[in-house]
Amino acid sequence: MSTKITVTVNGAKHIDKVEPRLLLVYYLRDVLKLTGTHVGCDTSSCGACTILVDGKATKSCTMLAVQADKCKITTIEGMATNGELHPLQEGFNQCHGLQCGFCTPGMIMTAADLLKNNKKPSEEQIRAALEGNFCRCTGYHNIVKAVQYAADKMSAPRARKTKKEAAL
Amino acid sequence: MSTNKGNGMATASGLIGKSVKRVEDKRFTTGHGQFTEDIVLPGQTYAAFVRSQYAHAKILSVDVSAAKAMPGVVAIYTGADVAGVNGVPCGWQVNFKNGNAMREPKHPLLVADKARHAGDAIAIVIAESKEEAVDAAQAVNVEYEELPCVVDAFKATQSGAPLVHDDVPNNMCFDWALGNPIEEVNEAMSKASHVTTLEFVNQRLVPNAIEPRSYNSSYDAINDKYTLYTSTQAPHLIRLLMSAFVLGLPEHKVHVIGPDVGGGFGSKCFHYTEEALLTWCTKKIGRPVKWTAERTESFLLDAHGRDHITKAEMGFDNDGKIVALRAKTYVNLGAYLSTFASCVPTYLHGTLLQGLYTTPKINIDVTAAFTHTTPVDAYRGAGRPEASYLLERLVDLTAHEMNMDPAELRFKNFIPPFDGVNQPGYQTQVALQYDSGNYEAVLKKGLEILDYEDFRKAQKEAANNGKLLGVGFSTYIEACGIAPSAVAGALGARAGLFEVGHVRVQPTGKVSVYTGSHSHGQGHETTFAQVVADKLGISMDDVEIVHGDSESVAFGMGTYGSRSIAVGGTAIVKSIEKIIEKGKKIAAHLLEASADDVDFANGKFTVKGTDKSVPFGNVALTAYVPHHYPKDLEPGLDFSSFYDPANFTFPFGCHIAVVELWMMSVMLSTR
Amino acid sequence: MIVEGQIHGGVAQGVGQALFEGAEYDENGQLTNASYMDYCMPRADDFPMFETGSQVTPCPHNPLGVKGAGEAGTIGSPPAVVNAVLDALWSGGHKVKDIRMPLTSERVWRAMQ
Repeated sequence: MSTKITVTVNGAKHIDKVEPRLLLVYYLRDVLKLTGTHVGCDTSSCGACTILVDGKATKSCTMLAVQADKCKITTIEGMATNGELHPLQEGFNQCHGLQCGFCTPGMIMTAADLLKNNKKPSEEQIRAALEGNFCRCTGYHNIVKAVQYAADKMSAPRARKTKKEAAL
Repeated sequence: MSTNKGNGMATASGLIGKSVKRVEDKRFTTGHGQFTEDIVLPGQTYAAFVRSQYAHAKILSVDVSAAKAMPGVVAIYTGADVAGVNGVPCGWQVNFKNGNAMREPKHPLLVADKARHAGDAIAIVIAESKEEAVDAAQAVNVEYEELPCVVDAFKATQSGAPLVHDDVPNNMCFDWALGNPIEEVNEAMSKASHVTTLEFVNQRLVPNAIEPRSYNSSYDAINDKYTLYTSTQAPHLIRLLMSAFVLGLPEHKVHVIGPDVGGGFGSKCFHYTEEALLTWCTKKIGRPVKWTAERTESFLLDAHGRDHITKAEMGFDNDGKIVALRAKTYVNLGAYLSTFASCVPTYLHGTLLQGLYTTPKINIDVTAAFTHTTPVDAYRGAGRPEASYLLERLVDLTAHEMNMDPAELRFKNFIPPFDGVNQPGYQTQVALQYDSGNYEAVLKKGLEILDYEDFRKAQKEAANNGKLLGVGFSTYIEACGIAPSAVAGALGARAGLFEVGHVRVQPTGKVSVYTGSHSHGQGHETTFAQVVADKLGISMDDVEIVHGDSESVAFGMGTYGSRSIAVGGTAIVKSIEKIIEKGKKIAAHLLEASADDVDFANGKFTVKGTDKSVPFGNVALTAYVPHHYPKDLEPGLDFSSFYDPANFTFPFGCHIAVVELWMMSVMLSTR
Repeated sequence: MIVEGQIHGGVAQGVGQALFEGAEYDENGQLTNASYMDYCMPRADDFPMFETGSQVTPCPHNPLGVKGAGEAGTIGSPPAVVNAVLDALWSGGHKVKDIRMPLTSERVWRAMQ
């Protein structure tokens, strides 16, 4: 028995027949071959599988593929636009926010949701937002800095404009 | 407030020691890393395991008939099928105090007689999909007779304890001691004016790399060739252990690739049963087999760390000078001997008990026991955290007991500074010779960063206000880059401990480097490229680092024990030295000078005392287009080096932690 | 930057041992915390920023003078944290010799009674 679903992933529409028990993360990984979304646990604790579902950070191992019917999904592969890295992707590189890189996609997706709702998060708010994502390599120190870097960069154009306006 | 306050070392040409952005990041930040689980081969099948739910149980029967009939099932194998296959070996032999070899019970790929820890593998089910494999594994019917078990290392060695292996009396794998004769230590201890005694547990930890272990093994029947993708820290080591010791395969017919690996922390440098079993299965079924651990399996099967029960005593004279150290440790090895399990509590633990102190008499006694638990092996630090915990807890506790300042007590006992060049290395009481050290300096620096005097004032003030502030010190030493091979061999290592670095200069002057070190988060693609670019005076963009492939470099010992830059990096430097030496001969020919008169610096070969020079790129091209070329010199610019270090390296440092205890629960209880 | 990153991660694992982590077996040999729901993995909000410094003492026997840094954070940090908690207790007159790791609030509280 399989069910037809229609999902938009990173801007592309997909129509697939899936088993009702198929988890969304395995739909992305095994059917769409988007292997940037990782599986690190079996209890929805580690956050390596985090993606955006209709703009909201979601652990894709907690959702069935059929539940994503008619949803808009963004995975790590969809974060860069026209070859230009998202400020978070840049921030993780600039601040050494990753070592083995396995948790990184989930971290970036969770942080993306945070920055959408909170343009200037404090260190405490960043740490609280990321508490559902495990990293075993970095001690989180540089991940926090990477998110701060992205927050600064994303609010920078306005800041520059303000400066320019002030100059005028 | 984070940032490094220090005097980091940078070389004249600048790249070594310079903070650069990692070159490997882009594939990970964009979702294009390639981990083993991401790899799907043509004809791929998937494995799931039937695992014991009991820690100790006789296996009365295994019925696979219902499972075999399930949809998608390709094959099922049980312990009986692999009874003739060797178990996975241990790479380090430790001898009993009486000289007898440690006991090494077989660690089979699948158990047929008894399960010895919860999660022990009884059968493997291979199917067309992951889901079908898991469904069918659940349909395998195992009949058990549950047996009593023991999980504590001390209890395991007491008479009457249930035996993990019938042929290992008292569950004792080995006993072992190191240091000064115990009589001498006892005598020194008896003269101490203060003895600090501490009994403690260094608890068992689960390494928990976020990427679960994953293997994908395939067999090409036409060429009689195996390929194993594995989430390992040491591809060559896995190839050697699996082909020569477990499966009896010709080593050159086994290709092992460790692609992107999502953290290891030691737990992925061991040879696990699943690697060999999948490789055994792939030939049987003629199709690739993949298995990735569920997180629960990671908890039950990835080798754990630590698990020591210790009693330690440190004797002091009236001035607070350490006069003796005596320790007895019971070590839990788990149900089977993992790859490096025997050397962790011995040569990586006992040998570090000199610490940073001049302690004149030291004796460490270790008893290692099997229990009905997950095997225990090296986890980040591996024996050295246990040693530093033992020493540093004793020192701070002594400071409290003798009413002394813990920093002052350390300064009194530190080994004086020595650089290993003008002053000799420091010979410890526990076999090692430290390379160089300045222990006072790191503690002084730590105290400055903390602003120690201010902290103590604040602590007093806080105590007066009913708040508890505390500071803890740990001045530690570790032994890294374990070597040389001959010494390690004399101590029981069954493998060499060198590393291989192969540097290939391409005709256009671009450089490919093949290393036996393996990066799983360490950033070798950046660090090693920095070293090469610095030494050759070229851009980092012109250097590529290739690692993780048993067929790209002659051999490799892999990455663990903080050895990559000291051993793997040096192997690369040795090859670069050979390239420069040969390059000088080529340049001398081009410049019509003698090779002895040619210097190499900043990417240029120059005739000494002149401005005549030729850039590195021209020399590279000449090596591959040898039209104007020295007689009797081979073309090409390509060297490989095996580097076997003369000694361990001994990094040291100081950790300072400041805590404040929040008294919420106390307040609640007193209201 | 890479070396500091190694230290941060190592310290996090060491502090993890001191304050949060520990595999627990029951008398039947079952690992009772064999999942992320039960085993206390350190999270982003469990840590402060770390402060690091460096002191260079070259290794005399290899050409780069390098020693290694992958495990340093993990090796030194657990006793520092445990010593700090005990120092806090001693400063308040609680003469406690040892608290078993991980130092959970309950264990610290019991040690004070």
